[in-house]
Amino acid sequence: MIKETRLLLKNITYDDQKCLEKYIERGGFRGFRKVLELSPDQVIEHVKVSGLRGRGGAGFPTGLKWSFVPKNSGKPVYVVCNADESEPGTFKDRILMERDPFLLIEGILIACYALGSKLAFIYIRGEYQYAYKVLLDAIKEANQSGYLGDNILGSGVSVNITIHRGAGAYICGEETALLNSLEGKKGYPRIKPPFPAVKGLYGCPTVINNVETLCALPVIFDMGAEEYAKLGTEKSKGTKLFSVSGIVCKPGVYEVELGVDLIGFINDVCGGIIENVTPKIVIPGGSSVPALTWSECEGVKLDYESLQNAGTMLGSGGFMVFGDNVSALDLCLNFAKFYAHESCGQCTPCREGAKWLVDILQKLKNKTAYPGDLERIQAICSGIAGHTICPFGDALVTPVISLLKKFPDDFSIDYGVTSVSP
Amino acid sequence: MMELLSRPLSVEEKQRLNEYFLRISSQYPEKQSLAMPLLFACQELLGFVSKEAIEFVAEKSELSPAHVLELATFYTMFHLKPVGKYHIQVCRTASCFFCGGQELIEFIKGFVGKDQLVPSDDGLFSWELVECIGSCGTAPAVLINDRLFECVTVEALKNLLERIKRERPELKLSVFRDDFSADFLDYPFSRILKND
Repeated sequence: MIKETRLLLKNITYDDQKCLEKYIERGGFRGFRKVLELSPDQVIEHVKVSGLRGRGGAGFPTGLKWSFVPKNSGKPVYVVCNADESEPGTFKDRILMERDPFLLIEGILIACYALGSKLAFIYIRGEYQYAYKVLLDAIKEANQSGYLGDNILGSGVSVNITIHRGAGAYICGEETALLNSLEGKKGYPRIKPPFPAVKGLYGCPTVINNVETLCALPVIFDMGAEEYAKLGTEKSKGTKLFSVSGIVCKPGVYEVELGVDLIGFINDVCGGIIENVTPKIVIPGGSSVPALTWSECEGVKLDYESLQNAGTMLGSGGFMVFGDNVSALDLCLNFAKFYAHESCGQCTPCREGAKWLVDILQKLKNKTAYPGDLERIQAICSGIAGHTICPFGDALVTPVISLLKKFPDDFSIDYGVTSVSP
Repeated sequence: MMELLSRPLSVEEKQRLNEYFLRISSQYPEKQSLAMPLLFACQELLGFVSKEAIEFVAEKSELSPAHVLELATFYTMFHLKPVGKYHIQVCRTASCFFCGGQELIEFIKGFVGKDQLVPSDDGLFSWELVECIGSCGTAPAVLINDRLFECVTVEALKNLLERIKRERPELKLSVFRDDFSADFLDYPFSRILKND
């Protein structure tokens, strides 16, 4: 029987968790107070020990990412929280921000202390107006109570947080596009290197972390990095939030130890599959990861390595389950439209290719496709993947290729005999 | 060059924008970062981003008007023409689409009776298909102005829109005000975590 392990979601059900007083009463800022007893380098070391990996999608080790920031560059260091959650199927960050805003603020404080940053930004997607307002109120309250601003809790540490709204561009979740947007530019991803850790916001060293990653920090320092590292698997340590949607009985945000069984997770935690629907497609990490057929899910564990071995990825934890009432072609077309709409337009293969894919998939749907169109889809996908500045191009071909390969019947171009003339 | 609608800023509007500018300029090391917040502020006052608004934002954020126009066209939440008093954003991405979203989209289309982003004849409503709005577990979802409505059925939306027509609530969050307007919270939130 798989159960939730609520660390980040520990206090998520309290409606008054948005009050600083209640946050502190329930253990808030204990992690940060422990951090204040350590040197910044020790903090980075602890984060490495915890095994925490980026929870936004890429899964890069957080401590390692932090250690790339040059010491004494003479420039200010910025911490940027990526709250531009827009990966289809993902809504965990919204819940965290709306329900437990101080957890994020404490996480940002810890990151700022470790990196010597005095100014942090939260880049929140424009559509999350309620979360934005909740965070604004929380920042204001923290400032008034000495948990933000100058000389926090008499420690000599000073941190300010600026919250910045996006305006409806998925691409700004890509970290360098986010930085451009924050600088008042179009959200065009930058060529790397230089990496943001060296040359990021306003040309200064910058660390960009996802909301969930930052929210894990207070938990890690409160319970101890070694204790946290005991959770999960050898290489995927700790807990992960999954945003579950689709044909399960209880969709929602769940937190489980990394490495739990996928089918067990659906049955024990998400209430199982709804009645009279046969599960068909599982997408475990948001639309940008390869889809699994239901039979492929057998025996798969929910952690970075197991999912990779199963031919997919953990991604953002946007866990979508679709039944046999959904055609893989319809799903593929839906995703293709998403990517065609959200392509920033900077690289030709992505900008043009995404539209071509929509055109061909739409023709397949209308039963007006030509012989050779399936091969054409493959050719366009190989023309996009690996030929763009940012991973968006790869992300857009991933669902197309995996759905096409795994559900060929749904993409059949054989329309049968439509007219018979002797 | 695309044609921009003219709508000059009144003295009072300029004063409010200047106050807002002063309040937020200390939060950013560089002026150019103020362009997007200022565009949002202008849009809130005017209902859309006018030619004069672009010029104002350009001056304040020390960018060229062409650069600011580029922002206003790149980011889909900025509107260069007025939308309805209640702008309905309906999610068309997978989890919503396959969980009742299709019927919802058809209903909204018929209800507003106009193409996307074009206000209804009484100016009250407009609609737009948007990508994932982070409410997949409570699909299908729509945003009406700044308010998210989850687990929406055609029936529930019909009633909601009738109520909005009757009561004319604000359903907006203001950059000029700190508090929520009363009606924003008055409209029922659906369950946020279904598992509780």
